[in-house]
Amino acid sequence: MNEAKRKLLNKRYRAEANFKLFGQIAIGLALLFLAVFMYKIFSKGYTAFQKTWIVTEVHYDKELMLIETDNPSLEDLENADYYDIAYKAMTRLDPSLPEEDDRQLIQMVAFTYEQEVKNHLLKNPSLLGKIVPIRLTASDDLDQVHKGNYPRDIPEEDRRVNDYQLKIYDMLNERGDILSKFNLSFFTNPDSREAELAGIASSFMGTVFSILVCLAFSFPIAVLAAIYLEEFAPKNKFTDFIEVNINNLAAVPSIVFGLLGLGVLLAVFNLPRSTPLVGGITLSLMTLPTIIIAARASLKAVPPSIREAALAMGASNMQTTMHHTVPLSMPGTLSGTIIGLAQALGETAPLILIGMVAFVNTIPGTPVDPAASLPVQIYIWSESAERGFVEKVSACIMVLLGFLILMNLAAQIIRHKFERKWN
Amino acid sequence: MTKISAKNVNVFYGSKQALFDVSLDIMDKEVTALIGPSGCGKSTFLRCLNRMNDVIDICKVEGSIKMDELELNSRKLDVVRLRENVGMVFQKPNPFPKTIYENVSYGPTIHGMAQSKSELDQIVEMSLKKAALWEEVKDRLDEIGTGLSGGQQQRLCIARAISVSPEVILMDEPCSALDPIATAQIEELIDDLKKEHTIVIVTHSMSQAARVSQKTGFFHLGKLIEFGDTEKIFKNPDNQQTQDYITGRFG
Amino acid sequence: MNLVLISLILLLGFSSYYFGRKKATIIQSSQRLTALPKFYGYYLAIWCAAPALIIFSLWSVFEPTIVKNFILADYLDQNLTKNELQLIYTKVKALALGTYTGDINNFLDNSAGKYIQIKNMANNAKIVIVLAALILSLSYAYQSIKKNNRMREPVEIFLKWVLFTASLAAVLVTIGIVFSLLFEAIRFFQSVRIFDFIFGTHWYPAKTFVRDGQPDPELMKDAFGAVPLFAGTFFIAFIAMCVAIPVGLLSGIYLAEYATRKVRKYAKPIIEILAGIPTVVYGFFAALTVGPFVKEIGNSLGLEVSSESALAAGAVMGVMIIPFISSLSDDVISAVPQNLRDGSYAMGATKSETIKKVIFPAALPGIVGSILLAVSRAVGETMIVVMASGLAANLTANPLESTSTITAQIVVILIGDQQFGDPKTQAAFALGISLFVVTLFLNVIALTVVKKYREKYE
Repeated sequence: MNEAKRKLLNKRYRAEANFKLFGQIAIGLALLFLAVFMYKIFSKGYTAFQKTWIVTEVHYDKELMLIETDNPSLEDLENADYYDIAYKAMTRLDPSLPEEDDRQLIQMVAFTYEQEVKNHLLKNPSLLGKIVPIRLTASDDLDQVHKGNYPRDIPEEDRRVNDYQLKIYDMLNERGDILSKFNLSFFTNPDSREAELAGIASSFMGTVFSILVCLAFSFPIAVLAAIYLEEFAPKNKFTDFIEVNINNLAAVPSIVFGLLGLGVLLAVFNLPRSTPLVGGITLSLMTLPTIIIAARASLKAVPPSIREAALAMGASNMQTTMHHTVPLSMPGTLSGTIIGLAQALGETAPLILIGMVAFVNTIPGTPVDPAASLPVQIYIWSESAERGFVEKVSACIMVLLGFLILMNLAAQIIRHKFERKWN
Repeated sequence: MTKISAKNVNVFYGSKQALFDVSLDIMDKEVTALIGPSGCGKSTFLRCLNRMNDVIDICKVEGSIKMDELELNSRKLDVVRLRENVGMVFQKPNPFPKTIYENVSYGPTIHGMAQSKSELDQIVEMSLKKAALWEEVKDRLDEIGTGLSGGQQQRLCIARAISVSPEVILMDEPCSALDPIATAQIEELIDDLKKEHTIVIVTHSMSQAARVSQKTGFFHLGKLIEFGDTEKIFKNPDNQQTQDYITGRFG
Repeated sequence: MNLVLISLILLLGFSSYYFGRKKATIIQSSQRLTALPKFYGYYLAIWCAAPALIIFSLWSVFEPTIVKNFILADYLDQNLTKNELQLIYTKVKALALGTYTGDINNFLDNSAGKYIQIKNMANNAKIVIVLAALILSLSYAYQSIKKNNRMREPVEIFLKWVLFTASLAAVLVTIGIVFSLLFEAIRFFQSVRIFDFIFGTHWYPAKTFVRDGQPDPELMKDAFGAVPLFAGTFFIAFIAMCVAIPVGLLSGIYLAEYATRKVRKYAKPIIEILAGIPTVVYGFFAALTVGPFVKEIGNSLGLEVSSESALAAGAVMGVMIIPFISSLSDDVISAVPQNLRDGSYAMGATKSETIKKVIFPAALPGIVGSILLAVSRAVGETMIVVMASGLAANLTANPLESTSTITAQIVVILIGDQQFGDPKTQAAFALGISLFVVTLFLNVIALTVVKKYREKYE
């Protein structure tokens, strides 16, 4: 072997190794993006599952509560005045504070502290007249300080928590009067302007209703359409046209469906704005082609021998389809449907256009109540600058991703467990 | 003179054994035909000779195959250089979806055999002439190779294989997808090629083996049943199974 | 009211199924049945419910328009514009329903009375007609059951029509998209010239806001030039492609040609997770992590970087598209027949030579098709741009500045309360139709190319 040949061969092998390396780098990069992404979301979000409380004492003083009867009924307690005792409960933390600075203490808890004092009594009416410890939701700023998300060493004027509040916080923390426990209210509260009170209950229900509406509209139509196209449609120009149509529809940007929802569902049919009903219908139009394509693929996968066997027994075309082909294709269709719904679950833009971006601080009970959805909630919160909301967004993303993973797993399981392999 | 010598070759696809203890010697500048019913392992053996079995993940080859003292079944062997010396023609014509010229110049280009364009032109012309295709395509070298007829495509593949002047050419049922006229052309070509190359051909057709080869090996169920001069195999085989196959009693 | 009617129809439908089945068993005692008894039930149920439901829905669709025309006929002599007529009708309706809060004049009051009257009449007529249709068709069906006509065929023909109607849904959606977009877009182009829209270089719709009356046409001319948006859209898509094509294509090639079965089994689904992440999540990631990161790096290099740079949005969008390109090109490459690979390996080519010189050229049409689909996706992507890139439409080619896209502007215009009839709202629909046309164009080409490619190797 001559020198030139050996050189060429070495060069070729180097090129080979390099090319393979590039491939590995590309895969590595893709995986790295995913890892960084997940790390960022999780490291920012996990703290949202903890909630911070300040423990103080409240004196359910009948006089201050303006209760005049000796044996007050629940209704009396309902109508009593809690302003003073709640105020006292807070100022008790630092009796030396001059009255004109009391806001500094009040700001350390959520603005609903008066309500919390009241609810505590309504739950245990026997506490009336007693001095009892009570935990109050800390403000989002203090919450962030406690979770270590706010730097404490920057100049006071750049901080959202001032030196005095930090001093009180440290004192309370030393005494063990700062509580940190699982944040149930994140799952049970509707949206709020205050980060420490905001929860995903309303957007979660909005998502559930939208997906159910979407399923109810898209699944039957898509399956029927797929059956027609795969089993009955004559091969002609019109069928081709429908087919091209479906494939194109699957690639139309989602925002265009939002415009369709706005221009037709809201403007022409006058359906109620901002509701999961409209959102679900809009999403179903998007999911329709996805399900049709999946259902057709799994109908196609049923071998012709099955059809021939049924036809040879004297079954009609319709009977063959309904008794044999369609049931056999169901696992594939169902997993395609779940994947289509998972896509719909993550959609944001079309829902914004039909108004599901409104601030909703009630939990919707029906599909025609105004609601947001989880992805829209992510969008709304990420537009709010407070640090507390960053944590909430990340947590909301974790919940959403959790659902997507569950749905995809379900699709996988259906596919592997129930789908028959044909040889 | 022996060109390739195989000793106790066993091949496994996963847990299934495809070849059992095959040993045979292939002579230089001769045509060796491998015959037998489908699935008997003759193509598997052929693919051992240029290590094409490497492409299949689950395939394992044991035993020794030597070509001029070079051990082919060794991990250290450079398959790229091996395949430069052992060309292959496949069952179904598989020209690249490129021009006729690019198809033939592919080998010489990757192996750096031509220093200049004119040298490359020469190699292409020579190869096409040897493959008896030159007259038919010389005016349309820049047309796509897949546009040729089946027989022409297969000759193009032969031209591609001989473009790097391999010592050995392996042919895996090269005529099975062709009509009788194209088959006759290829057989004629094989006769010409054996002047410069050692040829191993797997074939389904016994008459083809009888026509083109000097040595014939008969495979059955992964075993080499009989190997010897073609004349002897066809006229007076030692083994009863061979006899039955040749006379068409099974297969 | 309507709900009661529908429930009644459905109830009658169900009971006629059982009735039909029962009738079949009676017939069975004297004659041979022409089909299974359940088909008798289906037959009767279909004839009972279907005509009534069809008439009911047609009525419901057309009634409002007809009622409206009746009411507005009184106002035709007043020479009012379309918008004013619409306003009057809304008022009349509100008054009739008791939700009206404005001034009431005699004329309006009369109309409201007339509205209530017509509505009542229509409702009664609807019930009568629907029920009459139901009874007529039911008795026809009953006659043919009595005669023991063939029962299975008509049921199956009906089912086939149902299936066919369902398959029209996809076409209806497309028609719906085109018409809803066109309808508003045409009204937009009545106030803004198409030329100004397509070639204008200033996009500043907020300028046209006026509290009362029509905005100044001169202002309109200069506020709706969509060039910066088209440019921004393709610029960001271009940046995304710069990330997605190399990484996606190389990953796809690696997965198809090099990866062992095990690596492929795990790496492929993991990479595809990237495609399953909702875009709003990418948007958040781009706005909160990548944007500031790009800005920091730029600033440390002494560059002026906007915190909402096109680069950040484009790069994150590219990451989103990676799995799209990698799995499509993986499929396309795997579809290249094995015998081409064998041919190349048998010539002594290395794997990378085979890939670069044989497989890649053979798979090229398919790969181009998938890249076009990916571009279409990048062009239509909304949330990442809304959240991470700017909302002000700059005409720039500097990836470190902020720029806006068609999709982002649609959201900006339509978020919150929209008013139909406002040129800004109509502009969003005009943008929508340009987006639709561009993506449709890309999709049709891509799908045709991919389809041709598939056919070649099947």
